[in-house]
Amino acid sequence: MTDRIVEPQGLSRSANELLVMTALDRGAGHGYQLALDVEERSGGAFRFNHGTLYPILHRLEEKGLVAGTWSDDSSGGRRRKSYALTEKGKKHVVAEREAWREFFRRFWPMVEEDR
Amino acid sequence: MNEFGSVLRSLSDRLDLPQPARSRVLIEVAADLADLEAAYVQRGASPEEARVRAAERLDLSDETIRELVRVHGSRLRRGLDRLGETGRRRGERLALVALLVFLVAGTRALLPSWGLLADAGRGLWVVSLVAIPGILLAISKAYALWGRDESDPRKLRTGLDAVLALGGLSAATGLTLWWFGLRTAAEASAQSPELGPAYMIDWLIGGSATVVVSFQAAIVLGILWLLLAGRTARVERGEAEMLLIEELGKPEGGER
Repeated sequence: MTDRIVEPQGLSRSANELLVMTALDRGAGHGYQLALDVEERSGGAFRFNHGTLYPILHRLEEKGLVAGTWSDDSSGGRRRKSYALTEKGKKHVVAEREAWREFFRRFWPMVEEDR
Repeated sequence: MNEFGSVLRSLSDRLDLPQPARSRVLIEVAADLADLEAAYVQRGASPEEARVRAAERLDLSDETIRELVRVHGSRLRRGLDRLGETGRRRGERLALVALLVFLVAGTRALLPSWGLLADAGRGLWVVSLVAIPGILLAISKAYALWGRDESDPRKLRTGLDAVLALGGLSAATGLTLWWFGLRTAAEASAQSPELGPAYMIDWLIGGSATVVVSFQAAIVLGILWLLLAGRTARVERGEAEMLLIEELGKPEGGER
């Protein structure tokens, strides 16, 4: 049982952050990889235009929940930024999942048709 | 020239961020666009189709741009960065030198035979505790920037804002001591009313000298910060432009 649930006012932001962090929980990746990963795993239901991904990633980086690392691609010499969850980020994902479970546990009885 | 050059230049024009943050965002987006294009090609799209789909998928709305700008620093942070950037412009640099000369001349006029420092008394030591670390920090930053040609983006701004903060703290310390001196003088006057005028005159002389010294220290630290921030911005801009030219090629219209 958690003492916190997702606040309705921040649903969209919180959902986007959790989708991105869950993708990162499966392994580090670049921005576009995360967008494709979320899209594929959701069967196309959740589709990030990857432009919208940057503010999310950069905000999470600012909060210390993910760490961005610049690297040079040995083949093309292009600089790339990849992201990975930090320890703080991993704990945050666990807490957020629980908060979302709690949200839906309270949400469905509110919106389901009377039976 | 990057094949997404026009997309990235349009993004660059809309991103209200100082360098090098803007370049970092652009470089990240450039790499992702190229990788996304390659991913679409791998999935069977033609190169042209993949390029169009990758560019479409970027879709940076005004709201997303605003959010990016918001994430990359507060209004104060961006303002300070821009203030630092202005220090490298020739006209403003001349104005800065003129200001520096004026202040040095003014400081010399205010410090005949160390009288002002002597009047500041104990207040001088308290202000020194704040101002001297700031000056030492500024000197070490100056050595790193000019002596060692520091260009590591992770280290460039380390300690820079502390110089400015210590300048502000120095002025605040002077004002605090001034008010503290007033209270002390008032209490002493209450205990010995006949000596009240002498206590108040002591406070006026000592307190005002402390305030003058603390404000001079603040101005000097502020000028040092401006010079350091200007140099830092120039180094960052150079690094960022080098990265951008590598990624995008030289802009058609020259420097923005």
